[in-house]
Amino acid sequence: MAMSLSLSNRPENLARLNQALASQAREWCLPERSRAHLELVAEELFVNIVNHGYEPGQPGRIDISLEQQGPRLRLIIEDDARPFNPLHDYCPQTDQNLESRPIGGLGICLVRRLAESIVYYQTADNRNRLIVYLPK
Amino acid sequence: MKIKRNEDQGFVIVTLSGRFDSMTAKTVEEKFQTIQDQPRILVNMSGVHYISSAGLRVLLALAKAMNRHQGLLRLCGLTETVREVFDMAGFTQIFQIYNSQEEALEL
Repeated sequence: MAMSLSLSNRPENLARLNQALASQAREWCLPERSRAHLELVAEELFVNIVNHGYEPGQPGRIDISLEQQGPRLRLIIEDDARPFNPLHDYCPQTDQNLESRPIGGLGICLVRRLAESIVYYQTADNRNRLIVYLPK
Repeated sequence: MKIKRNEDQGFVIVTLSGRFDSMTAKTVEEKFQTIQDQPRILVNMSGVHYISSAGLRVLLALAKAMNRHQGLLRLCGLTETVREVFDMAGFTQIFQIYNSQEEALEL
């Protein structure tokens, strides 16, 4: 069985997303470490869409699904926000000293480090679809 | 997120317990802003089992604020999951991290 939920673009819906992931992780008996990685990847992507994908006050819908594919987890996030390919996003250098480290931009980098592979495309009806494969 | 503040050996000690994510980061940030002019701060993270980039940003902002007035910032009690995120983000190199609070309070 797979997890699937549809959320409006409100920051507080992160709590619902976390609950759904935690319950699915329990059902699949995922190791603690992969559950933590999954939650982190999902939070970073969800929050990024909610905070940067829409105009202020613009309603939006974010569909999230999770399934097992052999030794991997496949997380699919689809949204109607403005087009955004996280693979093209700027990633701050992580070896800079304190003063030169930028405050933002870390979230997508963490996703890219944790994912085995990431696929992004726009669907025929102009929605962003991001598919992230994570090791179990 | 629970935030406890106390003082010991010249340090303001902030003990965090709970998830340090985009829903709780603002509360911690506000707390840090009230103490960031202190000369010595220790953040005890032993009760934090989850951190996302929102939490990392708040810690980085505190470190930058402390650095501006040559304050001393130390962290202690990083759990395994938090340490892994610190490593990925390159934070292990820019923070003074101690295994225990006792060790962190030694000057």
